[in-house]
Amino acid sequence: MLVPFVKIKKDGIVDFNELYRSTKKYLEDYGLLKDEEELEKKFIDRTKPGGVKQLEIAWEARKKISSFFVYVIKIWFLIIGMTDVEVQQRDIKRKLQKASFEIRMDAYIETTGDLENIGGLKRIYLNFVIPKRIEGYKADLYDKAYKLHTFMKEFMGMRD
Amino acid sequence: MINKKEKITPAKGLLIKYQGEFDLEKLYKSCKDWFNSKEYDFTEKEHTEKEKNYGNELLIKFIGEREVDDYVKFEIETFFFILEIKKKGKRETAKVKINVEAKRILDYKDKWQGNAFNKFLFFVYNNYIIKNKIEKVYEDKLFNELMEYTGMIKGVLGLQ
Repeated sequence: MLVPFVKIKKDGIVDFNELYRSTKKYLEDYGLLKDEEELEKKFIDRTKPGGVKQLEIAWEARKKISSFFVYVIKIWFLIIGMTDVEVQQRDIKRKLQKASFEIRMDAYIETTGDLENIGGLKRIYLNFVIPKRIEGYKADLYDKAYKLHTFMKEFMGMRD
Repeated sequence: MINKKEKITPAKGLLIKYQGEFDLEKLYKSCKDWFNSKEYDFTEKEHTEKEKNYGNELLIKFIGEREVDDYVKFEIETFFFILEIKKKGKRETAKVKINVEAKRILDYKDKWQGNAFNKFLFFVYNNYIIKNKIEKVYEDKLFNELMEYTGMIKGVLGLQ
């Protein structure tokens, strides 16, 4: 696991609809979102008495970077006690969401089946090449995952 | 006896307490920069913000990890628990509690953990062959870095 279970939590007001959209857009811009339907593994929206909402969302973004490796970024959103609130921002009244927002994320590199099926000279060659290549991929994914982490934190108005 | 993982701080870690005015952004950035300058991998494991009536509450947990060589890894874990945060110009006033724990980890790639014989070799190697090096070189080095790190934090808070 390259980025193991980092957690962002905020009890307060966030524009959650926009966060949801922007994060998706962010993944798309970085080539981590090929198909929207494949991204969302879970979406549970529970409305409790009094119109209070509870959301559970799980995403799995994947990007194939070579014949042998895939980047995987998993994101979980858990939003408890969500209600809409109206906030005056300069001249505009905006509808934002007040809740306990928890976002968990992890990132790792997965090998494809192709790598396991290689034998002979090609295997020997790859054994020399792959470790160095993995180091490069690790640095790249680490960078991507942390940029996403920072993006979400900034969006939620948290310090970085 | 030398263990695989050893805390070099007291069981509950080193505690820094402060109450008053300080620059939270600078404190956070200084810690991040310190880890980068010492070539530690920086991971923000948790970031929680709560908006409260008497001032916001902030909990940040981050880990710096450094692979010293193929066998030894240092880990410095920091918990920031900041209460009653109130803006005062560009600075903040708050109650700050910082807990720092440092660990020295041997065989972090788990090459010697496979079977009982390997574990026995691991034990002999650590306790008879490189015991002195572990205690006098690695642990001393980590302790010195820890002192430098906590000194830097105290400096930013104006405690030194």
